[in-house]
Amino acid sequence: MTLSPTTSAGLDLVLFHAGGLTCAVEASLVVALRDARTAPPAIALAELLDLAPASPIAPPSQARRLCVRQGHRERWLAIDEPVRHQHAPAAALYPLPPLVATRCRIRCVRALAWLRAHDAESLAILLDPRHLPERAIRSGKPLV
Amino acid sequence: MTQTDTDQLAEILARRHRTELDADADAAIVDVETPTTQLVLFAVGDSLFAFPGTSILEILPWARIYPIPGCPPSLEGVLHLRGEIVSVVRLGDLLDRGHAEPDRKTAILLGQGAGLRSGLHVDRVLDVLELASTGIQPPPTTLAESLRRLATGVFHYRDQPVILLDLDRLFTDYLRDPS
Repeated sequence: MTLSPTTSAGLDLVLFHAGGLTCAVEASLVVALRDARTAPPAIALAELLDLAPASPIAPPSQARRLCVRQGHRERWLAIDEPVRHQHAPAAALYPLPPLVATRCRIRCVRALAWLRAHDAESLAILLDPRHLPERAIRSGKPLV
Repeated sequence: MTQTDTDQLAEILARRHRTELDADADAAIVDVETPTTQLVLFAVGDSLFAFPGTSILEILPWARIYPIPGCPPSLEGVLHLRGEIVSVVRLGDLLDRGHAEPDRKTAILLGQGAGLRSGLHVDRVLDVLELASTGIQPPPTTLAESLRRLATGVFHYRDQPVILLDLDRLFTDYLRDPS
């Protein structure tokens, strides 16, 4: 049996890095993934989420551009490698803890996923691209 | 050294021994009629605080905390605890106290109050003790405004004042805080 992107058994996710954190979006909301040289200009997702650069010593490459579906339009975002596709079983998906759900001011932070990859488990922040901020929180930089 | 000296020392030592036994006996006397409260005593910075034991489900060692974008600095992030994702609050930020750099003494109290549960970052856990309710005094009026609402009492532990906190109020206030 082949799993559709969204089934009762879980979700297919596209995982990537932004500002040193592991983030994810539903695979069904991803339109394209391109190299930075061949994709339209895009605002860094880390900037939209008010995250610090991954490391001050080695700045993130933001070598990838991810195009996500946002309602009727598509939006390009600069993200960091590595990018991978992974199925997350339902048991690996968690709602935001109550304090986070109440105090988090970024609406696109939707859920959390606890995933195993390369013999290690780690947390991914599941983002809803439909609710991404229009502008960078700190700089107010508009969407490119 | 004379025999008299030896006897005198023996007598002093015996007297000291009796005094210690008496002190221990006095300390061991508990009025069974006096209700006691279990408290989890901890430090944040240089200050001592306590929560009622009924509010604390578990004392956890320091663990990896994953920050969540969009949360205030006082909401440090989340951790994975045996199949559950739990938020972690920097308790010092809520009590106007600075935290020490995390080390092996740093701990996370898993607290439950106001219908929710969350981790609470503390600098070290000092004791879990039973205290007679009569040993807890009302909070002094000189207490800082930020603590007055959260404090339900004060007691002394090794000559240091300890502020007893209400976790229900702490969580309720934190949920309402618009900052």
